[in-house]
Amino acid sequence: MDLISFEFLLFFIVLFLIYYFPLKNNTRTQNGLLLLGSYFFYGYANIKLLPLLIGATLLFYYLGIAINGVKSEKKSSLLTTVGVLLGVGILLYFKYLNFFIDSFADLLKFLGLNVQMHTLSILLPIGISFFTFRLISYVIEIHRSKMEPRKDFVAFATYIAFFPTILSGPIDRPNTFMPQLHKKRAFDYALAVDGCRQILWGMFKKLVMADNLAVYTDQVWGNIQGSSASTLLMAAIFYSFQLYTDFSGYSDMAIGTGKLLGFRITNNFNYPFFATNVADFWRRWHISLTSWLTDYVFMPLNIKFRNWGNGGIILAIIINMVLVGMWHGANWTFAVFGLYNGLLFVPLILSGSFFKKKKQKVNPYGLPSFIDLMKMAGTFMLITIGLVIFRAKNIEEAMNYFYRIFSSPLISMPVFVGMGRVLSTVILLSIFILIEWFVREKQYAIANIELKFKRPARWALYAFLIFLIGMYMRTVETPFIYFQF
Amino acid sequence: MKKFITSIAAFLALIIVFYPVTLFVWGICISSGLRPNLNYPIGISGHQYSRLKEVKNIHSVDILFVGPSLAYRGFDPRIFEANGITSFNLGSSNQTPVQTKVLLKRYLRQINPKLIIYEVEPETFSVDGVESSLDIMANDKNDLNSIRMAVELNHIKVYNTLIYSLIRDALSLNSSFNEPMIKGEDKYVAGGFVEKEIRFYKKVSCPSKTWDFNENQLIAFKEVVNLIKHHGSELILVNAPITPSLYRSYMNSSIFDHLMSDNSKYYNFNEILPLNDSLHFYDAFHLNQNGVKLFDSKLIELLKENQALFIERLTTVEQH
Repeated sequence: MDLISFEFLLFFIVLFLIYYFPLKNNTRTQNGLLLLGSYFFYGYANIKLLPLLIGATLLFYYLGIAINGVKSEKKSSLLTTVGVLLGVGILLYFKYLNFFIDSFADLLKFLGLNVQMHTLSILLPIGISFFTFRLISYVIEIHRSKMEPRKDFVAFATYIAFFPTILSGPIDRPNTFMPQLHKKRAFDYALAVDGCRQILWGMFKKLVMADNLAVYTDQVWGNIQGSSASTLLMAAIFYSFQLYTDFSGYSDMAIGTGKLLGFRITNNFNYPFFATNVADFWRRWHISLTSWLTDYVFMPLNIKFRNWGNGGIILAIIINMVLVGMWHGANWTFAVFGLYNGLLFVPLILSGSFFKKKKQKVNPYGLPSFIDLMKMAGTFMLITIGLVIFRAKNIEEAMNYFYRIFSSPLISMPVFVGMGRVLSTVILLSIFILIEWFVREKQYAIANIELKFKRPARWALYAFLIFLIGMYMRTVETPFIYFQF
Repeated sequence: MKKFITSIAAFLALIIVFYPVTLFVWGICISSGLRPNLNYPIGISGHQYSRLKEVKNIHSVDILFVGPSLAYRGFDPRIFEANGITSFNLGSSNQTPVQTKVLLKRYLRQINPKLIIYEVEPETFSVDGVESSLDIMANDKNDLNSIRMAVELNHIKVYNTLIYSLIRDALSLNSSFNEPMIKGEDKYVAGGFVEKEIRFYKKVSCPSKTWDFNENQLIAFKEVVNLIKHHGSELILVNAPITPSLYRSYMNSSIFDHLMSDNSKYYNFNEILPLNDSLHFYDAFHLNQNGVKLFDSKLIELLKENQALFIERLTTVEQH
């Protein structure tokens, strides 16, 4: 079920009314309703996927109790390792097995051995990368004694399957999300209004920005050979914004939906294209994933390699970034995307600026200083190069894309089919970037506007956003990019 | 919670006013290229405005033609008039069954034709019908049928254009609009026909194509057939000729022929009338005036041969 669909609207209204009317004084039954709703939401796409989710949830529920129950640190570590391996194993089997079989066959072929290998017919469960990461973090947090295991299975299962976030995140941590499941959740007017606002902004990002940019990126990626260098460059820039507005749009809608139900979900983006270096970018992009990997992969590796100086940090970062890339899917493009981003950290680590966080300077007009602007543009272009690899079907296609950019003159007018619509998209994109710059301290662009504007002005703004959605939304259904991960 | 629900209701009420007003201002002030989901093609193609203005004065004709551009560029009322048959052409650009239904609901009773010749083109059964609905909304006064059509198509562009059109209708903003009778190579001929200056088509190769029919269009087509039967007019379905090279590229024409002949008397002129790509067409789809003469003469001949209801009456009147 898509978050932007009539079915979801109907589903949510029914759930919302039951949640706050008959069940308003009973947290446990509210959780039960959320769990039922989440399983319905998840099974709506394909009921066959539900047993895996329920089975994995049950397994990790008992594993959590077992880890807490054992007295010796050794046994606890062993059980945690089993949990991590199980989580990773589920992910490897469903998402990566065929990729490994193919790659192994390719390797043997490269070595001159002709072995017949067959891939398996495996159904990829949607949202698997998101819920397995939640399961893994649950057992690790218990092992680290940062939380107690939950006796209440319904609450635990609700955390794993929470419908706004199961398909595309954010990946909430158990110790921030689960306590909310045990608190009384009476209707909070301010939080609900904030949720509606965030959903509206997310819809604007997705329907107006991302979907319109998709028209041109799809067009160019479908005809790399026939596109000029400037068109390819422009399409690469468009894709960076498309991916950002698509994914952050979904995150806003998920967080907003959570707020309507009384939950505060982890923020996933913090204006990443205003980052002044690559490290800064990765602290702002897909925050729930990068912080998860920082805590559970980078930090332990960094400690392990601490005697190796900068070399240890570089190695830990590169492993971490390759995993960030590979998390997206079973394709060498994602591994190379991760490796490329990892290598971009090297100059920062060697110059010592990796751990430094600098506050951005602004001129009297509130705009970035020239130096910061150049740094932002440079970081954006480095990230855009990586996203070309990310978007490509395979390494050859990515290489071809770069080759086409650099093999013909760049100074020419980009050409897209439907140039009239490009103009409105570019105008909207420019306004969007400016707005994001001026509100960059907020969780999302129109957050807390009640502090600055009176109700008539606020409502006029919401109504205008709805009008812009109606006027500029793409009329061809375009699924969220991160659904495939 | 009560405050929240009240606020939502009040906001929805605001939207109901705000959206149309902003849409109207946007439509007036912003150029069409910068408003992708609002298209108001008044007087843009096929002399639709003139045709829909003229139709309001038409009462009781022998034949009413409906269908896409192949209808208003293919059935010349002057040729029928010369054979003693009165007619009016209510074709519109890319008219799909959804639009045919609207136009018939609006004008069938007033025109009260004895025979309806419905030009059926596989392409109009395969598209969603969004663009052609905008053509009708912009060039005619809108009524309940327009609203029904918008709901049926359920497309944001249609809703936006409908709202915009209704406001323009209410403010009578089109009252001073005048469409020139000659636009480029097109000349509007009284009776709904559009004559193109004589030109000849240069043949190009056409990739093969298989039609995938749209379920909504098939339902609307059934409704059109029932509407005509219910009114008591005779119905003949006609597939007007297109260039033989293009026709040959359609892979499932026989399925379409079966579909049509199951519903009424049906003539596929691509099979009946041998025409030449270059001599009788000005583009891949449309007949030039030489082709129109041949096509219409053949159609009249077939009508007489098959003694269509009104022809029978006409012949009787002539004999008396």
